[in-house]
Amino acid sequence: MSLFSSDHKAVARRYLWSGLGFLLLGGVLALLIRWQWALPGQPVPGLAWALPESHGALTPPSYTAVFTMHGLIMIFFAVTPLLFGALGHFVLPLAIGARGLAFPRLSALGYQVYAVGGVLVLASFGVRLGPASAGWTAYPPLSTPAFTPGLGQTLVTVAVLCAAASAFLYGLNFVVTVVRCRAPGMTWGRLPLTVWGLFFASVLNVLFVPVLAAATALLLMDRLLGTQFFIAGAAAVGGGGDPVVYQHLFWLFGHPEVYILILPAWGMVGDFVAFFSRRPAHGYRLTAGAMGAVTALSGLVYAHHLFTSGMSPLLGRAFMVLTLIISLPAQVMFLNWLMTLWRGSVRLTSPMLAALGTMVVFGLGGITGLALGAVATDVPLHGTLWVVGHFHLTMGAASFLAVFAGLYFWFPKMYGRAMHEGLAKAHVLSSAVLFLGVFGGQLAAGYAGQLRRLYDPYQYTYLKHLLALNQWTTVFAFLLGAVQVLFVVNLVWTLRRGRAAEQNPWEVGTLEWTSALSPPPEGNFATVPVVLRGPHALSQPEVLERLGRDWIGQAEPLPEPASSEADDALGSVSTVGGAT
Amino acid sequence: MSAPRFLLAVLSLSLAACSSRTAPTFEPLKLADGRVVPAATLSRGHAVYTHYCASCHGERGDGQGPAGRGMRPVPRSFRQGLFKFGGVAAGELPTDDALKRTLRRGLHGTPMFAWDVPESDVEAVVQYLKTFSPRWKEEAPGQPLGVTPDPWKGREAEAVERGRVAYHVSGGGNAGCASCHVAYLPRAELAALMEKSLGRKVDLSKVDPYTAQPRESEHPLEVDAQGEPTLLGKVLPPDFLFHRLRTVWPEGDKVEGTPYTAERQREDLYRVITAGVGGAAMPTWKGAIPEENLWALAYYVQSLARLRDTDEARELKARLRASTMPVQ
Repeated sequence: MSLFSSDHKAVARRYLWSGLGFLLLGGVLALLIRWQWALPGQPVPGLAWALPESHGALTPPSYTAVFTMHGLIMIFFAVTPLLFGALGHFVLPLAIGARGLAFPRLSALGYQVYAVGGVLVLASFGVRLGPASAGWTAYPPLSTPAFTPGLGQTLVTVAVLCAAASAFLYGLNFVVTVVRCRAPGMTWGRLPLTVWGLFFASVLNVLFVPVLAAATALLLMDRLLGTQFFIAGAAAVGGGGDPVVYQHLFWLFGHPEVYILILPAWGMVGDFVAFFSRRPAHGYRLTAGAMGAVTALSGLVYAHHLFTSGMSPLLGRAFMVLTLIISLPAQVMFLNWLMTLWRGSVRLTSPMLAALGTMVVFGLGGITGLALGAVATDVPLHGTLWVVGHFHLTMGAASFLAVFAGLYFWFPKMYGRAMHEGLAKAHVLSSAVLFLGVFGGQLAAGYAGQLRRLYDPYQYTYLKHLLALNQWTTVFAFLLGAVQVLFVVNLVWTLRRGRAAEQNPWEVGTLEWTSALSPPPEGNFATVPVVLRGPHALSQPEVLERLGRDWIGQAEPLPEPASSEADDALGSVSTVGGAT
Repeated sequence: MSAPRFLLAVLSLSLAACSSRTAPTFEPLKLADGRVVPAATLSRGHAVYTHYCASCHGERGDGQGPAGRGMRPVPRSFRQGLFKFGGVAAGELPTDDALKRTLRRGLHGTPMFAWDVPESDVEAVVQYLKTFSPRWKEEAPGQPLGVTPDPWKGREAEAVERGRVAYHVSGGGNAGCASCHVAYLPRAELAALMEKSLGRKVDLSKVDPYTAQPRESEHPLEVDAQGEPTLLGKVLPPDFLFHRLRTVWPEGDKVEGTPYTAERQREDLYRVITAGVGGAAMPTWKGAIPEENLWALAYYVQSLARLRDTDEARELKARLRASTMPVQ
């Protein structure tokens, strides 16, 4: 497939490679932050070429740039593009039996816009006064020219605008595709949970990403054209601008973004838990409904980010209630997953381990988030590393593990080669454990009062004793970085030497495995499948009896009870065989 | 909109961003003392200044940065070439060493922090500060006022006693600090001390020696478009029992990475007393009174500063106020 192909699988691969590249860059930046907290002001080996004045040590301006760029790259250029751009683009049309996305050229354009944004982000590292350094949220007045005058901040703001445009485009594309392009028989009740997750997240993309684009565009006008939308004090002198307005706009996008990232992950966990427990997903409708409830509530909880920003305390109470309510549908989903696992015949494959890891880290992240949803506990915790630990567990660790669950699961379909299971399991397990070490350390430091973003926390007497804790956390972080080598080795080895994947290695019934070739050709299916059942038809007694296996394809007719052998033969020819 | 057109629009938007703010170019700066600062140093200094200093001291060095509004004391305006702690006679251009000391140590109790930045950056930004005022091209910096050996070493109590006299009495080799700063002796004791030192009775019934009066300052609260002062502030001479001293830290702290001893603290007090405070009413005392009295003052002020925020200080203040009451 050419570089300019608008086939959804080709676009997915482009997103995959770019997303992995940015994941690496964001990860390296994260390690620099950790280095600074373990050995404040000490030169980083091998960084002297970039920071000659300080012989490779992070200075306060370079440190602020590093943590800003880490957050921004991870959210806008690594995890979102990997979840939607790579996995979403690849899986969604296949899983609903469509020949492609509704607007193939729009998805190709979306990638190009994202790529322009990526180039601008990389370019910002090379400009005078460094890249953006106002925090990933780019709060004014920090992001105004008075406090961050460099060109880098402007370039990165345009880059975020590009990422937002691209997210809007694929969000729109996914929504239309799911609504209009499902195969015959693929009713809403037969969609795999992954598709449900992607669909709801895409709805959120369409609704809330434009808010981010608007806020970013206004911020750019403040920076470049001298407008005063967000300039501090402008309201006091009759200009009408106020930095808190930006916070409202930003979090009206920013909070749903949490769900934009986690809904596809939830969907995948729901599917994988069913697939690898060899049981139908318990409470399928309830799980999909819970995802819908989270989607509906997600925009109504954003103001808990502003409890400490000078918002009316009356508003605070309302948003606290809404924020705590949103944990209920999440609990419904959790219970459903546990019920699916209960007495299942669990197979600990690499995607399953990653899905279980996602459940664990997201569960812990969710529990630590309750303290931030309630006003009384948010006020003391808000500015601390507790918040950092919490959202890294939910958005960082959970999304990361979900990305790898999806990648290990669909890799044989994407490239027709099977990744090494042993390496994959080691990678997933060690990553999950180390995530708990790193972000657990952050939670502990935050609970002890360490403020976020401090260049050198130990300048404060009351934080001096946290040096040892931070050094341990840094050790875990570097180990976490190191175990990613397992994935890289696995990837390179598989692409060069990997054995050809089986047609349906996980023995599941969804359309991409049972009705399409590996890797699927342009157009996906030889003939458009006619869907007969839901995605989790596993361990059904009649299937076991008539086909001798515990799974059946979504579009595979179940042969009539064996009255004659000829009927049996007919049944199997028109099903799996059609795709092989 | 077609794909290429859209991409073109995005690219031109980013190009517009690129052209909006160009990096300033610098000519080498010829200083009056014959040194020439290369353009590269100024350019680096500008970047460092932008990162660390501009938010308070202003992009144009006029002390009117967005974060500096409302700060008291006001962030220094570099356009007048007037520095409070210059290591030279008050009002003269400061030495590089004094500027670097302020950068490295910060000013105690103000948002001027101890900036832990690479040495080359400190050097660059100190040179860059000189671009703000034309004085640097016209005048050489003042003669640095070195620290002489402490004549009272080992005789602390004696030094404090001598310093008490030098502080409260004017004339005869004494500084009379209490005429601006407040006096720290109850009225009767103050009168007795003056009588003893001057050999005559002094009428204290009409004066209030325990309330400091704000003094004119040459540092601007507001400036015009050219950066020239339009509104000057007033400063209050510090009350040593109450105010933090900007160049002095509590004993036992770490300053510039090494423990801050009583000796270092005295040295810093001596430095400010001898040089005076640029732009404020505090004059240069070096040469005006005998050297041993300068050191004795440092000892005495140190004994007061040690009391800051203690119950003893509060009791002393109460006694001082009580001694004023009958006069009213």
